[in-house]
Amino acid sequence: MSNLLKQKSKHNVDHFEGSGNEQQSDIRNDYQRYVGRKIILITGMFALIVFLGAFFVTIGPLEVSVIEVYKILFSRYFPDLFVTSGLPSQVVWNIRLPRIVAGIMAGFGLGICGCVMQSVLKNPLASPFTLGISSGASFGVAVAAVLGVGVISGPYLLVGNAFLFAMLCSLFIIALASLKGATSETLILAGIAINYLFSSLTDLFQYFATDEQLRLMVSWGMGDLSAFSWSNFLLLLCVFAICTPLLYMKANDLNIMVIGDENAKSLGIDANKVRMFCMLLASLLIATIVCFTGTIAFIGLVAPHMARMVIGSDHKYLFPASGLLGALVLICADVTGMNLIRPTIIPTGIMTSLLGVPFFMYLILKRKRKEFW
Amino acid sequence: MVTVNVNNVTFGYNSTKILQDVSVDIDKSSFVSIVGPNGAGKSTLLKCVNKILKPESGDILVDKNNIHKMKRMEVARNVAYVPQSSNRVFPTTVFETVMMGRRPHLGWFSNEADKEKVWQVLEEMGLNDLALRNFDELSGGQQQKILIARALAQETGVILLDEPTSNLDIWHQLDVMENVRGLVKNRNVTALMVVHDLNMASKYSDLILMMKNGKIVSAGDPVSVLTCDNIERVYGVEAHVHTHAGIPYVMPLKQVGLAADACMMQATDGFEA
Repeated sequence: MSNLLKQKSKHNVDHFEGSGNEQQSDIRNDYQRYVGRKIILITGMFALIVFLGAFFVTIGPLEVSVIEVYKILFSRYFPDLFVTSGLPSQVVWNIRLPRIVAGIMAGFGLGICGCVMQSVLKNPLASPFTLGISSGASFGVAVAAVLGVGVISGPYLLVGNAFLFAMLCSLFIIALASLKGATSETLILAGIAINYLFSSLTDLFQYFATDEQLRLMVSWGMGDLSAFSWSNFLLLLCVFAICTPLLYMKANDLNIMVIGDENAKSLGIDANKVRMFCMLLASLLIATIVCFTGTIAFIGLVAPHMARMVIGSDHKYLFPASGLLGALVLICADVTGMNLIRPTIIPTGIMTSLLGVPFFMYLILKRKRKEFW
Repeated sequence: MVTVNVNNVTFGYNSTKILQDVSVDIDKSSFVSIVGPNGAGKSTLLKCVNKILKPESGDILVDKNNIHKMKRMEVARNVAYVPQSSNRVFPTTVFETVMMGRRPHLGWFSNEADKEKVWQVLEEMGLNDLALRNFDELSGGQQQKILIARALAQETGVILLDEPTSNLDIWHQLDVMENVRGLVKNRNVTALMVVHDLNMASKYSDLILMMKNGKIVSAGDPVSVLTCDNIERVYGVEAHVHTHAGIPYVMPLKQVGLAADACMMQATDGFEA
């Protein structure tokens, strides 16, 4: 018996030694495939967004043929070649296309900011609105709607107020935390407290508001992409162009932030500084988005989790994937909201949750083992 | 080997002094164990050497350079820290975990040379089969080994280890200790380890620092530090010390006094996990 065992174990050793080299290159190949798969997934998501964007521009309450839609789009750049008529041109160029562009940008921004916030706060429940941005913005809108006062008057009264109060909220929390030491728990607690404060203030304004004012506040709070137009596009693009690369450059540090402040320090990362820097940029980006679109809450929480499920925790890939998935979910939800019960357009914020939650539940139930999440 | 000099370091949380005027020069011995009862300030000393905590007074020199004049990133290129196995909110793969050790040497992104370094470390420690597994799924022993691999990828002259053998079975305890001894011998690394198991410390250390109430009360080779007298004085435990093949082994017999932290009457719990 013992002889048999010995023989068996010897055989095992031989087998192991024989395959040592193969195993080594095998695991490296596996790793290459693993990284390659992530790059393919991200490229695929990007391609899907472009494809869906091109497709969604052709559908809407007003029947315009596919060929007509593209004639309209090309006529902007080659006015001599394509002749278009008035109303369809208006609808495609000034309603549908900006809406899709806004959806992509807002979804992308919410996705990446959600990813950054969850990592710097080391909390899977964190979202871009954890620092009180949405309640601040709502309050700003309430002030503008009821009192009619704001930082900028005219058409940008609402937007200006929303942005200002959103930034104020997050700056207040960041400042508070930097004075008292910014652990993630402090920040989350302060954020929740601020959320309650501004929600109550908004409620107070709603209590005294007229029906007209109330309608304005409520519809803003649902989150809608229709307020976005080409004139906002450049501003949003500028903020994106500043924030996104700066945040992405922190990808390696974000990987390390997740393992805790002391560990991060021992690896040369000043955890508090990185946290402040990232939150400041994320707040700026989110406040800019929120002031045009209202609160679309679900995406920023869930897009990073979806991304983590399909692509893993390395921020080099997780960061873009969160953004792309955010954009994907948002434009799909929005086009559904636009076409579900024509001609009524269901607000984007409502539709996002209605469609996104079942999809997210499906992902949770489907995953076989605790792989990435 | 890289020298570590701790000169008159005092550290406190609020008014509670955790370290009081601690001085030690590590310039000959490479495998150093720090032992002592809970709340003695062992982990705090380790964190001061790594600049995770800033002492109120005193200097710490690594390779003759004062770490408080260095940037954090520079400290991280000289001193690596192996924490007690940590739970994460979001899972990372083994490869990603070891790659974190390359951070002090990187610009913004890792390149092929860094990846190659990580593969080398993984192969050296026999961990390459686990490279794509999730850190959280692995056993405590494997996790500890991976955290040591991370420190190795950091390519530092000094490695600090905070109770690396607690929560491990005896096979993995020996495995971790052998790995650290291998680093000290082959890579000429200076290892500073907080350890509760006096017998492990005795078997592997060149130098043992015995701490109580924020002070080093005894320092020297295992035979001179691990005596019945010292153990009774520091731990309040009567013990039998038996020497086998030149290595003292401690067999605790009974408590003869209050616990060290009870003597202190100060809330130091939680500072040393």
